[in-house]
Amino acid sequence: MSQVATIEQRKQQINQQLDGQALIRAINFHNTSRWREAEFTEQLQHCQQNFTPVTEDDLASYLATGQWQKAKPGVILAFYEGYRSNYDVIVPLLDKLGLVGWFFVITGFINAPIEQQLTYANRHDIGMDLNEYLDGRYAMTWEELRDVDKRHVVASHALSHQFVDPMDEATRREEIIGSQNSFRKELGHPVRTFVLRGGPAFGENPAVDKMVLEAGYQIQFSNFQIQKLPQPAP
Amino acid sequence: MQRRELIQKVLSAAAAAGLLGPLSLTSASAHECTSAGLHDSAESLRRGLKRMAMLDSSEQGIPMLLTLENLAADSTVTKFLPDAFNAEVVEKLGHYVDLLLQHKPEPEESDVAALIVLIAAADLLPADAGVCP
Repeated sequence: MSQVATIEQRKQQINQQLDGQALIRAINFHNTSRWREAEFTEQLQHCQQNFTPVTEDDLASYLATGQWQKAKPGVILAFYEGYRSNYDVIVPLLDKLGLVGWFFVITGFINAPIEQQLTYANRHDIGMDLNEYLDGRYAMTWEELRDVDKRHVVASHALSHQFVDPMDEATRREEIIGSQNSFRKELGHPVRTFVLRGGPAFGENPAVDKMVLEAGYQIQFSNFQIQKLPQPAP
Repeated sequence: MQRRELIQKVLSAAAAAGLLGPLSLTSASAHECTSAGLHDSAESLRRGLKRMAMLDSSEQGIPMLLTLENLAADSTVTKFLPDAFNAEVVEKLGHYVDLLLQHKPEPEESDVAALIVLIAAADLLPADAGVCP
């Protein structure tokens, strides 16, 4: 009897979670090694045939109106950390197929000198195929990112890929706002979208939320949710 | 925990719960799926979860479904009308929870998350990826 109640409660919970919620499909990628190029090609071709790419404006419009305006369902192709392999392997595929990638970049990784990038990756839990690039550069360059920015979404994965909850205020400020400052400097504009390590949602930590808004981020990704953020009064 | 670690944890949850046995990575055959594209038995579901758990989240694309929330003041929408896709997700998830409970009477949140990855994979991965279409 109690198990029946558990089943029904679980189903009810699921239905409540999905009731009135818009869903969007996403595929999460990290390193995209060359030796898997055929696999990525097949997967992205499948997306091109069955779905439509999503831009930040598409997402904002969907959130504001509640209506998806395109014939095919949208899919967000998300690439985390800022790997050089994303630029070398994935960006040409996306461009060829007319797809849009969302590149969540750890600015400290991009800013690390080439000779320190492997060490940086190891210390900041950025997974790496150690034999991939013999010249030692594993992160995208800002020049490459500026190219990506012309056709795709560049977003912030904060400064250093650390958990922000235990940080003191100054360190957290650098992590959240400092990352945005790097984008302003190098891309010439702030980025709109943000995700923190661990994927916490907006609303979980008011002190973090305040800095996220101060940095000017407008959209926050978390593990199971995308939130369009409240905008501070002008 | 890093995002990819969480995903890997989610994918591995069913394995850790003892749901997954040593199975080969073969495609889901037609007899394993209902006409609605559902795994039709606990064994079929177990195989589907096993296939998802084999994905390397640091090197391969992991399908996911994300809910949307508008906290800005620019929306007149207070609630999205569930569309056919939402209904399909609800149906599949409810069905899979039933099957999961045959193996694990008290599923954890990560088990349910693994089911969502499996449902997302059904149309985000190419047809030969071993999930019900």
